[in-house]
Amino acid sequence: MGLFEHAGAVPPPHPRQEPRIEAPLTADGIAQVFEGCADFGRRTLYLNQDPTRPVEALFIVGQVRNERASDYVLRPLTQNRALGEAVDLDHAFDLLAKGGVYPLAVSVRDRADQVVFDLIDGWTALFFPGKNQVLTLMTATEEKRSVSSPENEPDVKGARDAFVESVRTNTSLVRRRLRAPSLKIKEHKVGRQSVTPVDVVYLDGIANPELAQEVGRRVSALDVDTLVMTGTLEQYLVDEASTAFPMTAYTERPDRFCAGLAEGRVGVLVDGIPMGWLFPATLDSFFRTGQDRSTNWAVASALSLVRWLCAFITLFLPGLYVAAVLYHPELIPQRLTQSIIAAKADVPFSTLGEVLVMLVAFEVLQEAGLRLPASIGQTVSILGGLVVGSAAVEAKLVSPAVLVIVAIAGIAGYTAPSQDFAGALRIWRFLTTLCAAVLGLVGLVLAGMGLVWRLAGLESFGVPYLTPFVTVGGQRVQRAPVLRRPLPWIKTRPGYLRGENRRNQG
Amino acid sequence: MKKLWSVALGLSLLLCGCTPTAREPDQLDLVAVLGVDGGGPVILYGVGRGDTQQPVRAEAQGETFLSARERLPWSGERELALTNVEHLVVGPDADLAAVLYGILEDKELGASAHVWFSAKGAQELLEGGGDPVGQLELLLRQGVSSPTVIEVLAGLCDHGTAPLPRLYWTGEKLEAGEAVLWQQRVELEQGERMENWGD
Repeated sequence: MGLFEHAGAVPPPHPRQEPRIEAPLTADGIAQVFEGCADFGRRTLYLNQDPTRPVEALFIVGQVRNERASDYVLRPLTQNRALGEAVDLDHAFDLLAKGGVYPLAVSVRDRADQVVFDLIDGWTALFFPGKNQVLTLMTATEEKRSVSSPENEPDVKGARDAFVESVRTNTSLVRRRLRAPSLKIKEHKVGRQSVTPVDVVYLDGIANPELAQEVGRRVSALDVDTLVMTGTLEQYLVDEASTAFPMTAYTERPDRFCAGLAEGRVGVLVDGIPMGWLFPATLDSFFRTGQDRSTNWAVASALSLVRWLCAFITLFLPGLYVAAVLYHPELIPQRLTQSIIAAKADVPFSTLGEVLVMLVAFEVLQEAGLRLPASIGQTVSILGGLVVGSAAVEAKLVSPAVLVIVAIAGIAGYTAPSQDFAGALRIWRFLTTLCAAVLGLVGLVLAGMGLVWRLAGLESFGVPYLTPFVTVGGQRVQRAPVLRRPLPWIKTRPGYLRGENRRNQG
Repeated sequence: MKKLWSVALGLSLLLCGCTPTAREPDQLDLVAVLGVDGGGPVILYGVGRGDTQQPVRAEAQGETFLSARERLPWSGERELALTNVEHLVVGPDADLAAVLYGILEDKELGASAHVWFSAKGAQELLEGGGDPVGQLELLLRQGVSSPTVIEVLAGLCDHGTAPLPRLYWTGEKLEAGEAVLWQQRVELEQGERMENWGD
């Protein structure tokens, strides 16, 4: 019994089966594939009501939109006189493929697995007796959550739409903003069981073609059972999965996604997940918000500075407090030192113990608030805040100074636009605090150096994680990492993306 | 192997004895006033405020300022912290330049402490009346100017003199009289003591 799941005896890998479904290309063969599936439907129809010309219609209830199947497929099949006048079934097949039925998309399939996955996608398959080709017709339902406002990335001056679970809706949200035909959308199917559509999106002529190719290669090489969680994509696509720091930047805002594509990044959209990923991910991308480009450059720069400052506060403040109190009281003003001493006299725990307990309590409160329904979560947060806060101080369990320090550090962490990044900072905060408790300011500096060393070893699709603070390919990155210049001054796309066209304005 | 080396290096660093010593704040008494008498041996008097607001007093003696300072670690059960010394009171026989250099060399003592002079010695001033810490703070608030350690040292280095406000008790009240001009020629390196003091 350990912290991590015990691997035990791992069976050897087995290659992915291609084609995935091996069955005869007949209605019975496909029905055999779906045996035991209550939602599988099958119906025999007569072309133009002629019993000598039967066809089999296969579909999956729930995946198909009933009106579309009835009006666009069943009605013309049974009532279109042209089909009755067809010379033979081949002629009727050709008529149907060329407009005899009314769905927007029609495909002629000659492999069973193509038909199976068309059916799963909500298409209707028409089988003609004795014919080794199948007509599949797009009758999929479009039931989905409607496009709504972004919940996690609000923007005062920005667009009000956010990605939804349907990848095709998401690509349309992107296409409406980037109307150039150079917007390429390459679809891959990922997951042996989920067979999830994953779209690689990029602007041809702007994004580095090698980067687009590499993202596509990694997506298509993904060989997992299911792709239904965000972590699956993030952890399999990145160069380094063992770090706590996020190696992918994601957004639920189409405008921000499009801005990334226009910058020369490559995006990934996954069916079933209402967000888009942008590659490569660099350190500065986790400190930008969608609002940065909407507001005045001076305001955006000031807010960006605040976010960077808060990152340092959340990372180092508890450690700095521990180091100053335990090793360097001369750093603290005398009156504050005296009040710390006076408050600490009644607390039975060590300074490090106090800080660690409060940091853990903060994490517990946050986790409890997240996991509970919103109404209960707020109550828990308020009650927990009161209990862990003033009550703990009154009970002499912690010093007021420790409470304030931990609260400032915790709240400062919430200013990070990326909560994944904030999570990594929270983990490192414990480490910096422990180092400070062992070696004082020296330990804090060593922890900071260790952090920089760790980050300097990370790369995202060949781009150093610390970009734009480091040179890329021996060249200095011409980009303000913290401040934002007025947009008319930013005439080029980031060089480290190695895009084909660096100029971004006339 | 790499990890083993890292662990070994970390352990050797931690166990080498060079690591600083942690001091819990509730085990500290902050010395606010440091008195110095004598040029050799040197006698130090520390006065601070404990958590009960009662003055904490300690005394130590050594051949030099630094050796006396090393012997001033405790006041009863609590460790004396010289990290927040705000006032330095010197007696007439103190080797001021040596004391100032000692303060600069010490990793805890800061150079921003105010320097005062007591004609009857630091001991008489710090132990002879009421609360010297509160009275010295009151004098500063009343506008009595007092040079800092670094200002006095600069004056001695540049001109061989430095004005120090003279303190004396009037009942329970500490008064600052006319400043005395401390005369002592020092070089940038610790120099030879020229004279003691004079008006």
